[in-house]
Amino acid sequence: MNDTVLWYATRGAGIVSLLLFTAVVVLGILQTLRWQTASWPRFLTAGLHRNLALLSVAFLAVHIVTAVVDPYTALGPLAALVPFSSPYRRLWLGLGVVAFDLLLALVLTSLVRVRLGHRAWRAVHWLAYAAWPVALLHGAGTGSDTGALWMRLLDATCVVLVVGATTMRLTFERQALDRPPAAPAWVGSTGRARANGRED
Amino acid sequence: MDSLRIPSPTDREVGLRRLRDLTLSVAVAGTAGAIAFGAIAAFSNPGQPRNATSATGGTLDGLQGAVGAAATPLSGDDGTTLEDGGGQAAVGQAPAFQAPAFQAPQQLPFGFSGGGHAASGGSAVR
Repeated sequence: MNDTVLWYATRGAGIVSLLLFTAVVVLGILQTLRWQTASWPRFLTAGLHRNLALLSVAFLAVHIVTAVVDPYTALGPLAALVPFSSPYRRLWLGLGVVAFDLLLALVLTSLVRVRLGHRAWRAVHWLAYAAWPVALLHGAGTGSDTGALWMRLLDATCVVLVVGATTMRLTFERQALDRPPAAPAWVGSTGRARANGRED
Repeated sequence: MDSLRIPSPTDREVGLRRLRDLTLSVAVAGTAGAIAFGAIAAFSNPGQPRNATSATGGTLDGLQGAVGAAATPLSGDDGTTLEDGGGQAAVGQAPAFQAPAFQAPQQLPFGFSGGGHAASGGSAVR
């Protein structure tokens, strides 16, 4: 295969990976917010979050494989797994490898979530908040299209979406903390009113 | 935000079908997007081709070859090898980057005159 075609494939798959990764992060945050509407049940968010995560890994695999086999960069398979091991654009490529390793950990632990236990899975899942900006930095640092206006717009859209969703999560969490605890279901109407700080 | 309504089996079936359709749509859109972005990348930055051309039309391939050759020690007639300085000599001999001197016309409009300078440049960045 022509190495220029490999280069274009690397770039195309990389951009789609970033977009999918962004969608996965936003859906994950919506899931934690328990967001749903009449036409969009909560399990749809959860299912789409999972499916898009697997899809983003597939596109990421194309991105990495085409970069590794590209004779121009001569990365080698080790450079795709071990961060900062490649002499070619060491820092920016290293950040991409860090993001990939984190994503791999997220996906693998999610696949064995039942065996792993919720607490451990959740701890690993927090890595998503680290993996996404690292992936964005990788693209901004080494992407051949970073300077192009359309790529800047895509990057900006991704940032706005993730920052917006994260802000929403933080806001709702704060509101939930400020709210008095809900009374258990077994508490009678008088008890519930008392628990809510009202006396009827 | 959170509703107490529990989805019925029919809702769930419809939702699962929707999930499958959405996933399939995103997969197709992602593949089309990857191809489209690849094509945009190919056409959007013609000034930054993989084998960048210099201002004189020479390609960097020659330069890369010359630098690669300089990595091997140069041997002299007396059998000694030259480790240092070989790189410079080899790069200097890269035929692709021998920019021909640009000769400005001797007579310029409005009475200006003078010689030009050799054009060179181009970078290997992708």
